[in-house]
Amino acid sequence: MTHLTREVAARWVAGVLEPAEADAVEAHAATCRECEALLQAEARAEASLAAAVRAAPPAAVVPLRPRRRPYVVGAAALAALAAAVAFIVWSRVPPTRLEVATRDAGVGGGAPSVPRYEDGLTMPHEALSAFRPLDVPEAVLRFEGELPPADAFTSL
Amino acid sequence: MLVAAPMTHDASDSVLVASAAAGAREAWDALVQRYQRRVVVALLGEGLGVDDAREVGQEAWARVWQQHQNGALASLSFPGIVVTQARFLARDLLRRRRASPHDGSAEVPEVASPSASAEASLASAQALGRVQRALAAQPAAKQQVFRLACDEGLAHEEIARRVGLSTQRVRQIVWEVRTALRAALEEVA
Repeated sequence: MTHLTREVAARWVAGVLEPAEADAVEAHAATCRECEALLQAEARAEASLAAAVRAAPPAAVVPLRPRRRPYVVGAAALAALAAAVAFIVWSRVPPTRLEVATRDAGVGGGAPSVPRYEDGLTMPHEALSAFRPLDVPEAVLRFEGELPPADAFTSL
Repeated sequence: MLVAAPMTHDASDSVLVASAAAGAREAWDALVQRYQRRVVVALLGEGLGVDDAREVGQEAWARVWQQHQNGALASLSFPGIVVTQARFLARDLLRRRRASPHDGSAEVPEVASPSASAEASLASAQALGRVQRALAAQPAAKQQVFRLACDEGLAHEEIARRVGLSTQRVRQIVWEVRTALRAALEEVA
């Protein structure tokens, strides 16, 4: 191993070398008087720094931001994205026939409202027609229109 | 039957110290591995060579363990307690070598005189002021990390665990702050 540079010696003293590299530095310095002296000088400088740091007034305590786990961050981002998509979809859905009918008929003072069961008793015809299932075929609707009145059979 | 949990080297200092205090040799060995280099660095700063520093460091760990087993220690705080013990042993070794300079040691470093000259004191005061200003210029979070490393002597893994950063990031912060402080220190010299 070649002689240690000052930076490598400083890194060894500061403990920022990888373990294998630190072991190699120590082994070399044990056999090289020059590099041993370099490590000693850096160690003395480290002691001076430690003394100065110890004597310095402590900084204002600031809470360090705890490390967030990646999956928590990912889950939070997904939840936010899903909420945003849901809002956009909801805001772009056209009003239902019931909403249109009740709005046009002036039910609820102009504000859309969820019809209650008892509302059906006084609801205008246009609004009641909105309760018809949307998927009823046109043929069935026509058939319903051709049915005789309810009392037609009682008069027979 | 009580089965001891396997002691990993990833355990926190508090876990290792508690296990070591309960007599777990494995936890003790993990602490030695974690902090032995700090002890060696402290001993190099005292003027010992690498081989002497390793040997004295090992003896310091052994003595602290023995004192703990004998109930002579009220508490265990690492690495401070071992560094203190190691420095005591190093100074004793150097004193003995000075007393008998023909025991094989080539050079015996002088112990720094407690009564430094006025000039040296002024230089020390200037250096102290510069280093402290350089430290104060760092962000508070970096100062906190550096203090844990430099002042308390904690292992980078332990600092990372305490402040919620990665070990790599802690190493990076320690190196950045140390470089800035060394530059400030060298401006005086």
